Amino acid sequence: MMGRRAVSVSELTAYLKKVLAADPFLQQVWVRGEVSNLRQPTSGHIYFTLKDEQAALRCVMFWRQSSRLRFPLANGLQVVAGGYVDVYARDGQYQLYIQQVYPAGAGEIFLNWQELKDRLEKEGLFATGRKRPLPAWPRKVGLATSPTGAAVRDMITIMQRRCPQVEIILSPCAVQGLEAPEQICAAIDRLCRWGVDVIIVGRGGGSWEELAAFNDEAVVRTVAGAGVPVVSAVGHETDYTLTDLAADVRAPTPSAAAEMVVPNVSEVLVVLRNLGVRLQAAMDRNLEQKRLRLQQLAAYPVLTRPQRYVDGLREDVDRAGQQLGAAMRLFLERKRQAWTQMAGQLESLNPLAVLRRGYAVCKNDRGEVITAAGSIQEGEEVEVLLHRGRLGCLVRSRYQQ
Amino acid sequence: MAGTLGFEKAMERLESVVKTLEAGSLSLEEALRCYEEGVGLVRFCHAQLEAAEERVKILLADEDNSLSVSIFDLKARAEGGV
Repeated sequence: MMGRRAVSVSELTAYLKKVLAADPFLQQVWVRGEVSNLRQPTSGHIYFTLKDEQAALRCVMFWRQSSRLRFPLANGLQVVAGGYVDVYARDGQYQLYIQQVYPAGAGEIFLNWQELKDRLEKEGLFATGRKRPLPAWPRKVGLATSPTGAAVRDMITIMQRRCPQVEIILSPCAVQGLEAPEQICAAIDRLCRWGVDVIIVGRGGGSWEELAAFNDEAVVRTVAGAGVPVVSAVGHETDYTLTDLAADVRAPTPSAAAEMVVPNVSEVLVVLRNLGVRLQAAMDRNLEQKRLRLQQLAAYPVLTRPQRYVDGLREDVDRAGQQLGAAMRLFLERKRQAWTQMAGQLESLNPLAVLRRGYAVCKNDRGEVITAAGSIQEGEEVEVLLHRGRLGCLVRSRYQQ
Repeated sequence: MAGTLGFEKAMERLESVVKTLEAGSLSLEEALRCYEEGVGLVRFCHAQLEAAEERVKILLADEDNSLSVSIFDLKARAEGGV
């Protein structure tokens, strides 16, 4: 676009807009300065100039944002304004289009807080995966808080009422003022070294300034790095501190923290009593079942009237003996029949049986049966077998067939 | 047996003992053993819960960074105010 040829004003302006829009720094920038030339037409948009000793910056805050202003803007006021820089084409002016504005002191605190939050968040200090569950039955609860004031009293009272067995270790520290961050860190550190199951760190509510220690980087890191689960109890339900984000559990108030950390023993007693009752009932039922089973077994006739059982057996043996005899007889009878039949068959197959009917068998002197007249010579002797006895015969003549 | 357990473990154990016994497929010896253990656990847990003791201690570090605890008198402190 930027060749040798002249560009139109619109083209240059459009180019500038593109350049500004492409710069991420200018798209989300915080600017500190003094308000001047404040104008607020009936449209509701606010126009003013931010200036310092050397420079001035035109600013616009549209109705959507200006309607949410929490404090009145006025000429001469030091503010921190956040928004994006763009060119207003018609006037050829670059301007800050404001989305948020704070009075300078508070505004900067907020910005520092935001920056720290973003940084620690990137480090993963607030990650959900880091959160540890609270122990169900802590024996020792550590309190890192001020030893005076309502918060510590409330926490101790509540914990002792709910769970008189719990040992409470108070690790005192200042919770506001310049020394607070260091003292809070030291208090948590002492508790970790002494050995407790869970730590509550906090204070009763307070203004943003009073809660500052709980937004201190060292405190946040100590809470995140503590060896045992930490409950934050910075009594401030609406806003939250970075300690709240780093803690394993955030309680809305110190009292709520005390209730979260220890179980209510009277409730547990009810559970325990129930278990005791169930144990007794289960045992009773168990014994009753065994007793019933025993009764059932004892009622079997074999135990109550053994003679009858033997009688029954005797009868069984008797019957079995009879059955055995019958079976044996039947077996023998069948064998005998089979034998007779076979003997008959054998008889009918006996070749000598025909002799009984008058036939005779003729053999030569070598014992061979003669079946043809041609197989013997005249004058030869033959033996003739009859039904009873044998004849020695002489062949006189042959008649061949 | 119960003495070596913490309260929480003792409660868990009791719960499982009761469930085992309730399932009812135990031999008499096993059932009696379960029951005996259960009764012991009930007594142990009860004793733990009954042991009411005001135990609030204050934990401080000395010059040499060694730790020491002493009894914390809540009432005397509360008078002091913030």
